[in-house]
Amino acid sequence: MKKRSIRKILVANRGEIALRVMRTCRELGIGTVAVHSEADANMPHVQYADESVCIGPAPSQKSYLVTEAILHAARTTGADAIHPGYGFLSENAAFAQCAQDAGFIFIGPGPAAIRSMGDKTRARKLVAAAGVPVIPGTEGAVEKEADAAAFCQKHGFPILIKAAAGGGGKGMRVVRSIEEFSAAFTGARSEATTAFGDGRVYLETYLEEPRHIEFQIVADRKGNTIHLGERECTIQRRHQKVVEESPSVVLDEPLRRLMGETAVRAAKACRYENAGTIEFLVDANRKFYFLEMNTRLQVEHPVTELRTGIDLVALQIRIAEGELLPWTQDQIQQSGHAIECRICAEDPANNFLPSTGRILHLRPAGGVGVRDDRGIDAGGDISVYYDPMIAKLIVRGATREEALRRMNRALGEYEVLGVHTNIAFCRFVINHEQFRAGTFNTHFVAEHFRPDLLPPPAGEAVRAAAFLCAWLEHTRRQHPGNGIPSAETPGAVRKTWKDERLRFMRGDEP
Amino acid sequence: MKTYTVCMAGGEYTFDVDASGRWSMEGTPVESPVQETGPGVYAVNLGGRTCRVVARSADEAYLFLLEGVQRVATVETERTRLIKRYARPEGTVHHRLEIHAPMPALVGRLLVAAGDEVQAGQPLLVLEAMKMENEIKAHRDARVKEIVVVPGHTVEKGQLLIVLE
Repeated sequence: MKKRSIRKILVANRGEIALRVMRTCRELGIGTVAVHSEADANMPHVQYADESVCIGPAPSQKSYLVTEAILHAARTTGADAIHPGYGFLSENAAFAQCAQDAGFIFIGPGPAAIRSMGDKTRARKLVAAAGVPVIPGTEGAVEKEADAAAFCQKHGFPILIKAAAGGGGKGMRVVRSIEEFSAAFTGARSEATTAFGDGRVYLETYLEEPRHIEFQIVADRKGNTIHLGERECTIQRRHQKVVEESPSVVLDEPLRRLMGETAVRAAKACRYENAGTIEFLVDANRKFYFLEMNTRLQVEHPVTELRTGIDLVALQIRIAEGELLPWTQDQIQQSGHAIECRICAEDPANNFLPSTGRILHLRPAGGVGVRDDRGIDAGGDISVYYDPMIAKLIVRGATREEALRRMNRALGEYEVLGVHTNIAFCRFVINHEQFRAGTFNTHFVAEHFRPDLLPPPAGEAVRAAAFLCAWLEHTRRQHPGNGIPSAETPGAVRKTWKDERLRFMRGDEP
Repeated sequence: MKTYTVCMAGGEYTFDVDASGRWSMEGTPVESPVQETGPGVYAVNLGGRTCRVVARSADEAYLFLLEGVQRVATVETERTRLIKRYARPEGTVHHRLEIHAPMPALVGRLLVAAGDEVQAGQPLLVLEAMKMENEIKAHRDARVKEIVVVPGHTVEKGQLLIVLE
């Protein structure tokens, strides 16, 4: 294949990742096309793009997941390449194939690599044949409950049920006894059907107290493959990552080299091209096992960018154009310590229930060493249709200690009003002594977090806020309709009739 | 003189303001204490350091941020306090037999049918929000009287899902 330079990229995604990809495009002088659902027409990624196309109604099954709508948008705008971001169609081999067949460059691996790594049972077989250690599990997808029970009999509990087509914790269940099995099996299959349109599941031995450590891989068309170090993603809640950092405190240089080389071998096993991630589980004895490969850019990729100084999206674009990797493994330099917290619209005080609504006020953190990757502003809505992530807050420090202090400071600056957020929970995690000491596993949140452990606010701040509320109420009563910004009409003048009605209802003094 | 009582974060705070707009807190005067520095952003100084407070009015309450956590405050005058005390009997009856949606969501699978006997902790139905499935469980032993919602429908936070008896 010849080199082909890209002039205009359609980003088949929304929110922060769409914006993040477009920012690099703009630096490289490449045109950008946004696609959006009807609900997302005014989102920052649409405003940022050179052109935008509405591809359907709010539910992603009718917009961001519709291959034909996206390809049509690419054709009408004259885009020559498609970046899928993460989630949605990013790991859909049929989409990558259709995009290529329609003459577009798909910025990511080829459909064959997506297919072989996307099917988790095939992936395990493939990498095991290349000498990569894997966790004991069923050969393929398990259709009948009886076959599943046979596996449990042989390997014992606990076991993990996982969706063959999926990731991100959907369709996943831990089963600790035979009594729990039937309900978990049915539940996992149904959740997998809903999330991926494919209800097949497989079983594997469940490791106790594991850590989740992944390696960033990049590979070019000629098969040159290197890794860009690890990301520790052990802090998860319901299998969703919350805090990621690099380097991992449990890897020493020999283990890092061994795992890095193994990750490269796993990527080569499927002739991988472009950026991808090999996920490992590391047990209490520091033995590591291949978990899965994510054939796309990861949510947490900025952690690697801050340690290597490499713009991964720019590298993805150059590789997609047919360029060879500009570095060998020895030339990759990494320094400092990077941490990411995912700021999500959910309520830690109330079992992390998703919190929907309009963002009334938003002020990100700033200052030295702080990066804010975000795709929503004040005035934007958090809806039931999409992921509840508001922003990724990433910091870099010379040492882990400095990075943790910086993250604590940055989380303290971050202001979101209108929906509940997990900001206080993120602070709880990074200030927890087990997290500081580096002695944690994937059960950290379940074992250590209770809402009543969130620190109470300081007396002075409480008094100031209380006084402000009294002052606002007094002002409103003195000057009805005097423009106190309200939740219904952010920043706008409050309607007088409503005030009058409230005064009547409350029996206020005239 | 007017007295305002602010109820928030489990505490009550009382402030007075006189006819010429001078404020005092527990008998101590506070000088020109509030400045709006942006839409819904205020600098508040009660005689110590200047605090930044982000707040919005929301119906009959105020939303504000306190160390990264969104909280709600209600403000009462002496008169509204009095009315409230007489209007609302102590300990309003809680309809524990009604199962409400804890969040806006799509109704997924129904796991029980009307007439079923259910035990405390038994899943009743699945709500899908932000692509995660959430099982809604019975909080007591009961019989399912009525299922109010249909799979595929969107429900608002607090909407009635199932009635037990």
